[in-house]
Amino acid sequence: MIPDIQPMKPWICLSAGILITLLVSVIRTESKRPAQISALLTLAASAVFGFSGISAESQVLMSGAFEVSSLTLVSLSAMCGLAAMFILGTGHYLSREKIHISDYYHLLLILVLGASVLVASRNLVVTFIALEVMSLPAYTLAGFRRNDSRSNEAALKYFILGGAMGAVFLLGSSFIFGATGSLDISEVFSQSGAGSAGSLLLYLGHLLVMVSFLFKVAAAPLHFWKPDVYEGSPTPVSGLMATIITSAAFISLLRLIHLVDFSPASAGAYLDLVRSTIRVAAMGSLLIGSMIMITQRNLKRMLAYSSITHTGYLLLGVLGSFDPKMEITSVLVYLLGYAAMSTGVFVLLSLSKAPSDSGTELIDLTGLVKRAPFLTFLWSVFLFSMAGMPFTVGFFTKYLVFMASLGGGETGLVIVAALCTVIGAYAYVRPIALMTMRDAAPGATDWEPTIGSQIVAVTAAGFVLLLGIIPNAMIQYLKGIPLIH
Amino acid sequence: MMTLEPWMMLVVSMVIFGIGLFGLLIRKNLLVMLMCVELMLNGVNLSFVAFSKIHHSLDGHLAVLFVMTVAAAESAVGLGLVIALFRTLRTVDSDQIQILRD
Repeated sequence: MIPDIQPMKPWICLSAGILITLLVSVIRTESKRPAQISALLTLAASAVFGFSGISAESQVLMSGAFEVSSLTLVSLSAMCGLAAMFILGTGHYLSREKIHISDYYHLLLILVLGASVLVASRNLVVTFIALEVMSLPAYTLAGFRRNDSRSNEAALKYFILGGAMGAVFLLGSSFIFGATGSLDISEVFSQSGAGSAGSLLLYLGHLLVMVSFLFKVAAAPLHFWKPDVYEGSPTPVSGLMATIITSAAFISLLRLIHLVDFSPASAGAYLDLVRSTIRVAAMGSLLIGSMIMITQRNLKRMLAYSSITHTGYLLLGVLGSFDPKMEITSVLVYLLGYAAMSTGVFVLLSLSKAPSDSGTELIDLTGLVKRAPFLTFLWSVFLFSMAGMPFTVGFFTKYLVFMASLGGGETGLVIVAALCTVIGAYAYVRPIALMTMRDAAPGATDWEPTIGSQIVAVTAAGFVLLLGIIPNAMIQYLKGIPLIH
Repeated sequence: MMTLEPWMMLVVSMVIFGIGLFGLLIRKNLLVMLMCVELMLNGVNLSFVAFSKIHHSLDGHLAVLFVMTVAAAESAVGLGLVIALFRTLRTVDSDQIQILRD
């Protein structure tokens, strides 16, 4: 039987685009422009196919390994959009760092393909392959500043730890396979209430799989790689990690957490274990992230700790998703809002002309209001949104995960999270104060606002403000999206 | 006569995985760490085969083929990164590679 591949059009389009971009970059080695255009066209076509394919019913293809549903299509389109924004907004950075070569673009497309397949996968082996297809280009891109030892170190750290965690994921999948005889997520889901020694193996496997994804989203205590990797990687690549990789890993994590049927009595103790694991990870990420964030002087490290804090908030939403079962609206809304503000922040950060061996420090922001008033405005929008100020998307996303978590009975954790918001607000407001109230410090670097980057940052800022003022449309839209069909 | 039971394969696979993990934690040479990651993957491969035998299913064997392919790609990328690092720092000792820190 020939499988119907019609619904997989967006993914096929993306794969074909990767090959075309690769071909283009081989033929036209002297110029990066053709590869850039080819990559943008691929992302646009794939996003259009993805958006036009969204419908209420979902389809399961490839012998149950691949799911085309509203969740996967929305994620795919959003990821294509984010990647396109980074391509449009950070070309000047690549040129300045002399890494603007056409290979950048097909690696980036492969990363998007891996992330979008990861979200759509219903089979543990497919999940593993998608995870690696997403991670291998990420390792390479992290080391793209080949002559800079910081970039090399970041790539290698990311690679060794990511590779080891990939092996842990596989060990978990093999235990799950051993316990149930199946690698299909939905089948494992229906068989898991069996009890006995088999279910012990299943729970152990599930825990290992969960831990490997907690590493990918940098939840404490598995967060230590993130600041180093963010600092060493080229700025646009750090941005891609913060947006695309985090989102894909979180949606996949949600799927895998809900892989076990928690309803039978035998799973009750295990459900408690899962919940307390996530609770500890959330609390650790919130506290460590916000405490260390206020001590950082390097902006990229600060943003890395900020993203660890955001992982903590997202885990609150994950905790809320247990009860009522699989209510994931808060996580999806948070991911979308966080992706918008991260895109803006990293595009703005890539405008700094600071030499790459020292990185952009807080002091480089001083007096920016006099040097570049519009840039200061954009910075403030994103930083306020990350702090969770009202009238920005950051406020509503935080509100939603707090509510979801309270609904799950996590009052203590929500109080900790609220305290961390206050601590974090200091870290976010301090750069704004430096920009507006201080004169430029001697030696503060110049900022180079280009047209493309400003358009991208304004789009992201518009998104942040629009969704902050009228969030209901997005919440209603995402509310109907189920996690698993 | 002694026959090869699936549980024996499982024990061997866990030992191999353990050696890989242990080596990753204690060795400082990046190339050895790379090999340890490969060892972990191979340990998992063996456990997939053992579970396949228990369940009389081919899924595990298929998984092994995919894992081997991915592992090959991974080691190619890893060796490339090690070479790039060696070009700039002239060392593959993980203790001496600590530029990035708080």
